[in-house]
Amino acid sequence: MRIKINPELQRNIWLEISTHRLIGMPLGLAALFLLVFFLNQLKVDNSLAGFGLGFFWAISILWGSRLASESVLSEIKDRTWDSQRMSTLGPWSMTWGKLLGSTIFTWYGGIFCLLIYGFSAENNPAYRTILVIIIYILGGLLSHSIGLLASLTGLLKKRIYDRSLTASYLVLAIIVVSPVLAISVQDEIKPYWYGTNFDNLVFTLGSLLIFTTWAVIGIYRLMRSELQLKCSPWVWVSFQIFLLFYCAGFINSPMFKSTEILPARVVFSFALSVALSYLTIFSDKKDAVQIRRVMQYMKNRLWRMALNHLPYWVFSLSIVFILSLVAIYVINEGYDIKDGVSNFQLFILSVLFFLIRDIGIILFFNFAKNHKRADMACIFYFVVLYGILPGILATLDIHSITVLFWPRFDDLAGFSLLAGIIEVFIFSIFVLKRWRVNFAGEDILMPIADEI
Amino acid sequence: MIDVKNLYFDYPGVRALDNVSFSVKAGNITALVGPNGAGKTTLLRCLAGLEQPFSGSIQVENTDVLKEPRECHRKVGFLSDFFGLYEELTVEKCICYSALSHGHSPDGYLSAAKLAAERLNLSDRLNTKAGELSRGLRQKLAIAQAIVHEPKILLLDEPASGLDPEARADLAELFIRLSDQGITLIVSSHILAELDEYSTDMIILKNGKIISHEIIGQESESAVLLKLTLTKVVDSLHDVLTEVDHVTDIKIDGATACFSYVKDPFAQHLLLKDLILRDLPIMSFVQEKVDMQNAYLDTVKVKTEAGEGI
Repeated sequence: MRIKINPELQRNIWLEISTHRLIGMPLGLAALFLLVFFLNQLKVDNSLAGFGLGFFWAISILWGSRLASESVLSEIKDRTWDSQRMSTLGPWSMTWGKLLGSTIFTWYGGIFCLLIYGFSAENNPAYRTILVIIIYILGGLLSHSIGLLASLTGLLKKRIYDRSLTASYLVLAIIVVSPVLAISVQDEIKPYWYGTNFDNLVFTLGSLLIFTTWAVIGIYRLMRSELQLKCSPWVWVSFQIFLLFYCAGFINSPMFKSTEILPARVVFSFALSVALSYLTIFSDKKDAVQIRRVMQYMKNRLWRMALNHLPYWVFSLSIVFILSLVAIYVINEGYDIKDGVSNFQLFILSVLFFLIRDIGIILFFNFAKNHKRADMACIFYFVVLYGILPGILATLDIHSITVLFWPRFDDLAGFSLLAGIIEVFIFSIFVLKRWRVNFAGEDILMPIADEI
Repeated sequence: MIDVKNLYFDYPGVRALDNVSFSVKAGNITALVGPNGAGKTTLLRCLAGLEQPFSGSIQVENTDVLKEPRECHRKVGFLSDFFGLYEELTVEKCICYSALSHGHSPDGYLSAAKLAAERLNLSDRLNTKAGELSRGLRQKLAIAQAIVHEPKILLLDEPASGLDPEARADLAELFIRLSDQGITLIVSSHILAELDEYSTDMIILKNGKIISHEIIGQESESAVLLKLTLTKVVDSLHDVLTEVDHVTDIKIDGATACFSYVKDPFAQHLLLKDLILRDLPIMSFVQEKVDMQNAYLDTVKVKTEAGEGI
């Protein structure tokens, strides 16, 4: 009886691994390391080990991330993706088949580089060499996962192969992973997280393990969606909460007084959640059909189905809302504000309302009949609203009018909040009007099949 | 076999499928026809479980496609209008991959792939790379990939587009063969003449609505369509034919008349005799087959006049 191999992995092995490549990669690397060995005055030391890691980065991380980010997009370009979606492969098989399959040749080359590192590194104690190798393997896996995850997220909006987009996914993967790997080998750094000092390697290893797991879960969920399987939104919510918790852990006592740590962590989480909301709404498909579907489910009182089809930015916005309330409360506690509401608390509320206004602007442009470049138009208008117009007002020395354009935390914070509320009201009317004109359709009864 | 009820599909601002309902029996070869943008591709993609409709239900072989799309993929094969192949893989490996990804065991996938290649007459091309195949052979390979898991239903979107007449004839023959082997086919196409050769029924889609679903090539038990051609135009032809008993549905086009008449050959002999006696300059008198092109155009004309599907 033969062993069952993942078909996607098998296909990639057929395509990527040829005898020529199997021989060529180690020969090429041998020549390269021999050159470095000679340049290093025939010494096997940390310099040679550094080259091992460097070549691993170039082959497995840089090249591998490009291949991973292109793995599904090239299927779309070559029009083979539909036949894959028509297969009976499950989302897990598809996830790891694509993740390992598309990058298999770069792993093959990377292993030789790590072996060179393993033989030449002069770490003390020796087990740290093994930790570094595991960290780099996880780093590779994470960068590939980010590349694939970003490309699948991009597919939600645009189902085409775009070279500039795949390049941006690659850059994203490299930007996230490379600094982590660079820092991980510096022994003098001691991560200080939630008041505890950690060993750099151990902390990096743990973090990479957790974030790689999240990235793979993200790919799995997008694969489910590609395969027309239902997804609930709680994984995204859980990831966002985890990310806020993880990042807030780096805000500690030397930077803030002990009474300020909690408010600082909450305010930081609030700011991060605002950033995540923008990221989510820009990366998500602002699909009028999806929103109509949700509205139909709600009309038919199919609450669970409505929840499952809600755009993810709604959940991100809910987290921002909750954190704004928590932040207002803990600022009061942490700073012992006796005389009513501080400007900073008004500022936090203003941020919330300006965020809702911006979501309104994004939806307004996306609900246009021709909405092909809606998100780019929004980015342009945000640059105008947050940069150019306040800049002009500042040069004219009429700072007070900037309350209309951005949240302020000086004495004009109250006006800023008021402006935010009015703008939310105005843009809500615009969005609703455009919706009614372009998309309000007849009521249709929901299918029984979806009531699950 | 296939049961579609109240299917709606919306693109932003456009309703691509509008309350579509129909059933297809096992073993049928159903032609899905309609103008560009009628919703044929969207309908096929919904049937294949590749798109989620806004509303409605689709049952394929007792599987709810919306509930269990992956289960549907076990039972359905689909060939997109613009399909792709793994150009660098050989024909054998292309089909093997399809067999493996459709759940064939490591022990059984090779024989399944060889069987599919044999059904498509590709056995002599197993070691040829997909990128080196002609358009017709690529089409065959794509179909081999789509049927390697022995689906009960095969959905084909414009399968003959870009093929030469010989390859089209091969394809028609193949569809009949697959139908004989128990596969139910739904084939969308613009080229009605080719559908005529193998279709058992025809669904006409216009502006996202089904305007007709009729049986093709099934002759009436009592009537036939006759075509009478004269040597010259005779103005009184319509009146003459109207006077004859059992002649119905008269259509005059210059010196040619088409009409329905009783199936009995002796009655047709008497009719011809009668027409000659009425001094009509008859050149030919033949029984006409109702072809898909005419059936389609007639239906669209009637429905357009009635304001349906517009």
